[in-house]
Amino acid sequence: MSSPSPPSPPIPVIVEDIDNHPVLPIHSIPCQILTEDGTREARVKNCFETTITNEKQEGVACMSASFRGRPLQGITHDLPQDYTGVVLSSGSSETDCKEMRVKSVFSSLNEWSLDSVPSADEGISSALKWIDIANAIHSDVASSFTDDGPSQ
Amino acid sequence: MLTRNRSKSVCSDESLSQGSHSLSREISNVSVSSSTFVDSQDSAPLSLITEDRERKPSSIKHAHHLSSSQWVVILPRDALGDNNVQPQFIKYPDPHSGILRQYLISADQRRIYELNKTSSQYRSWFIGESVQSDGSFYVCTKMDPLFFILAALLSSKSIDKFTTLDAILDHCSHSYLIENLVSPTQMSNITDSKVIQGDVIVYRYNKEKTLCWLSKKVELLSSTLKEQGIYVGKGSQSVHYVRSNKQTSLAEDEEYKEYASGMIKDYVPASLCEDLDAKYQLAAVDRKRPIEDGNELPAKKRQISEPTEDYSKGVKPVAVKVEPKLSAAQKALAKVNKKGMKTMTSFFTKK
Repeated sequence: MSSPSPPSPPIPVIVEDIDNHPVLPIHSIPCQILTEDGTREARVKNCFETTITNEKQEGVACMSASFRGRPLQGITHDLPQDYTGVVLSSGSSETDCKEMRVKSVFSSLNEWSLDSVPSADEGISSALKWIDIANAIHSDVASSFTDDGPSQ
Repeated sequence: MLTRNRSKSVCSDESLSQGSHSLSREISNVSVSSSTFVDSQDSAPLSLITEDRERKPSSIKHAHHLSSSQWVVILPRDALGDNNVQPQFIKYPDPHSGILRQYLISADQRRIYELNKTSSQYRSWFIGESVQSDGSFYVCTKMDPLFFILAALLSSKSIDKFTTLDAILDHCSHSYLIENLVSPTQMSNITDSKVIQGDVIVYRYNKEKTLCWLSKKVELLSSTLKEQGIYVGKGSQSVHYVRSNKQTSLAEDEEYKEYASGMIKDYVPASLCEDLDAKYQLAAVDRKRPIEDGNELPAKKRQISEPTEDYSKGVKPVAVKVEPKLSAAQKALAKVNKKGMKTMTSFFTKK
């Protein structure tokens, strides 16, 4: 905190009417798929989403699918009501991005793991749990300190 | 640390041939020293130098940089504005460590959010009809701007003088954005204030008020943790050993308080952490696990204690050693030289 750092400019997030963005299905896949530029077109719908079947395990709804012959099990996470999911894009893969644009939105996402249902304590589940905890840490509590000191 | 009932994934994970996100699994349970977080990701093309608060679930890291071309982010709806105003990401010193970190300022510039990242090397996204290599998941969560003000107050040279908010934040970049985030009412939680020259408000740091405000936060957080049933016991813990009794004992309350204060301290400059400890007298608390009291570990006790009625005590142990009586044929057999003979079972093995 003592030494001032060169200020990097704020990066604006260009939203443009959040309700009119495409809502795309989104899956977190338990493997790393390398692409040259970070993203690539893929026939997800035909080659992956057609393999998804819904089932119940111990009374909990889950899904199973197969990717390159590997059995995947997945769950759907609904985002908290006041939250929205966005896919942000800087348009280029430069290290310093100048602005971000909302490319698509989502209100739920699927998390998959290999051969087992994704744990409720890791990954996306634990990140979603953090929201409530952060709200408790950062909510505006009024100090009950009544003595306002001699200054007032 | 947000762990409970992860039994299912624990065993099956070892069979993962791809080592799929074993990294986050391995370190996901305990408060880990920050050095653990500098992992192999640094050398990856999507370099993200990460270091994190100790108490967060360690799979969640604070994002320092956004270096990639596309990100999957979830954020509160009220951070988004309408067409004319945009939320913006800024880099600002972390209130605890002073390290620059990424934050999101809401479109109306009234709220600030911390950007958290959860990632594993072996994850990617399918988004619509495309693949995104980087499987990181970013979550924007609420951040109390007063933590930034507090850090600025404590590092300011004129800590015992009345100064304007503007002057307090002077040495920080983007301070004009932070300045707008707090109201004079919020400021009164950590400072004394005076109005000078009609409408200029000047503030002076007040330690008692600040500690009081922080302890309010600790109380709120520890009750939230308890409500959510998050295990906060010391050390790492496997689900297999999670106690089933939900009674919250006094010792457990202490544990929650201590854990919560640890989480709050992650947002408070180090110089104030000791004072917060002193307030809770945590240093004085015996660090040994208070597990021996009450009805904990009944199984262990049972091993040591004896049954109340033991009828075997009066009985003298009778040593009886019965020599097995051998028939004449068996005796003759025992004398046979068995060297080189195959065992009976060898006849039944596969040829």
